[in-house]
Amino acid sequence: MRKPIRAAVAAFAVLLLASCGGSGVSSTPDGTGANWSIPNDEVQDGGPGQDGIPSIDLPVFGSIDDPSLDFLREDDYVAAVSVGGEILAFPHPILNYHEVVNARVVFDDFVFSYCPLTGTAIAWDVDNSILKPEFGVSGLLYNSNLILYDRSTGSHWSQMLQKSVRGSRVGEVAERIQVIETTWATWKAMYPDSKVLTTDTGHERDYFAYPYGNYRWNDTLIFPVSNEDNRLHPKKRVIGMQSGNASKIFQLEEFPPNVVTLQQQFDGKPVVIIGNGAANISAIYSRQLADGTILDFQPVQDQLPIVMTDSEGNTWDIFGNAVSGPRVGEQLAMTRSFTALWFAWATFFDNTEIHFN
Amino acid sequence: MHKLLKIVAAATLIFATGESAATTCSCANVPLLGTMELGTPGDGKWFLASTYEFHDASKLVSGSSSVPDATGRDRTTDALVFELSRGLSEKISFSALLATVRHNRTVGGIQDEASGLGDAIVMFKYSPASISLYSRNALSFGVGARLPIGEDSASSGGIVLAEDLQPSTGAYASLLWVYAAHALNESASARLYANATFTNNGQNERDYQFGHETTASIGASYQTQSPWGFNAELLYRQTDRDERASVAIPNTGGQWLDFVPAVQYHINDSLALRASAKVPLSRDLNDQLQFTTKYAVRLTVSYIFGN
Repeated sequence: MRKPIRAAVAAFAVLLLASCGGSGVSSTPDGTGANWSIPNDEVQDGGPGQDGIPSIDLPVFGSIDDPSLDFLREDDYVAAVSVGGEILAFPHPILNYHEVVNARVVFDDFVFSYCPLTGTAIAWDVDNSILKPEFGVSGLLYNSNLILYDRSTGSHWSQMLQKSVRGSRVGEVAERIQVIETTWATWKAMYPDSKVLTTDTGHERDYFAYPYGNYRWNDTLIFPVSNEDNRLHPKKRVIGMQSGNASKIFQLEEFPPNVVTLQQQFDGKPVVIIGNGAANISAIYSRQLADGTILDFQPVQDQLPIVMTDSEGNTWDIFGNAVSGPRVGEQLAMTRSFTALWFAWATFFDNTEIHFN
Repeated sequence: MHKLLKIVAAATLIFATGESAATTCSCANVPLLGTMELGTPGDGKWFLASTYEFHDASKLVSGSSSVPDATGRDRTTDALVFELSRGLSEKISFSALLATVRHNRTVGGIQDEASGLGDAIVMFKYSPASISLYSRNALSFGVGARLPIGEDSASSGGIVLAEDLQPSTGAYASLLWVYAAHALNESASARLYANATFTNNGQNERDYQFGHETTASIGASYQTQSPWGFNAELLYRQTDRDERASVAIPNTGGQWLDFVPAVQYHINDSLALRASAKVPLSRDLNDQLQFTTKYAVRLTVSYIFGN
């Protein structure tokens, strides 16, 4: 009997060595190992791992009638930018599966990011002096919101804070590009000649299928957030603006079914809030021009993408460009504003004022 | 008669390891309940087993369809499960299992790995019928608990890793288990068997709860006149969606059907080796995109001794 016992013991030992060598954790270094500038106990591993959600690094853009876009529903959202003379739209259903698009127009690199959990689409200009100006999906979340990482330094970037929160570039603030969001139906009518990100992404996904169940519409979150504000339904789409300690939001569905221009003072600065409930579109710009002029705006109806005119006789489009009048070619200054789901805006920017009509 | 008694006893001992591993992994790719011995050791006997499992969960599936994954993702789990069972009487036995686990997630050259002690299981089994000279049928029931005694807060870069990368679930669970077998011949060398389990998972300290799991398997086994024996099994598994703070997580849960072939070699009356594989046949992952089992292999060495 001794031989079998020895054999069994030996077999156990071999299996033990072959398996787990003890308690421990290891990870390939990323972000240079620097500390987080945000509370790291509020940073969560989303599960897929770094680049587990693959960014689109060679985006292909087509016309609005590209056959690969036939799957888009009229009420699907798209987010768009105007870069280097091109207007480019990014459908949410494609972004749901990639979250980050590294794009280039002529020699102008930019990164477009979308977080499906917070409903935030944000674009940053990319410093072309950096050897590899690409971003990827870190697989981490801060307050349920996407954390990107840049592939040149491994630094992590909070999408909604729009700055680096870990690594050698910590504290650096991203250079924003104006993003406009609306429905596919409105977009096609507004910009029929624009380019649209196609499903030729290099990855095979069922873009028609929404990957988060009923998350977009229910009142629950998948990942915890540090501050909950129950004044609105957590998934209500809002456009918010933030400056210093001031924060204010407008509910997109509360805009009337025509173009409105709300001229307000926000954190001591004159701004104009443009909204159209029927077209599901909104934007916020500074009313003060670089020469100090403060413009008064009036809405323009039924001419999207033109949304307003001013006392000088200029007309302005939804991207804030003067498209006719004495200031043609000028652009209104961006504000720190973007569309988000209410819970996300509220957790990032507490004491937010809600605009009620 | 005495010879036939010996044959039946030997076949039963062999099947004590031969039909094991009938169920699949439980939470977070960690096999535990699935590795538990199906048979009962008998009054006064001890049963020791050690199972090594390698589980490759790098298969990307959307709903029920495979999807090419260009990320080069590698998601694997190694686990070593130890089992100790003791027959308290002819009908009652006690089993305890303990796992050590190593999870690996590598995507694009970035690797996260967590290893350590996993969960443990304790279970009492009651066997009103056993295969013998006088009965061709076996029936056993088990009630037990899973104990979160291991590492459940493994982190990387100061960030707690995802729940499915933790060696331990960090949560208690209650377990139900049932096993039935029927010998097809007098020597009981050929058998049909069925096994079912239910795991009712609790929440861990981060309010995370793995989905409740139900498994059911049917199989056939045959012990040759030589030391070799063979098993073929169909394994069905269903898990509810995981929940965080009682909110269901979309890309979790589903149904799986696997084929589990196995071969065992009986070194002597006490010591046996067994190798098995898990081959996915189909799955339905709640219409969601999930990484799931590509394959799993398992090697068990078992030893039975005592009066």
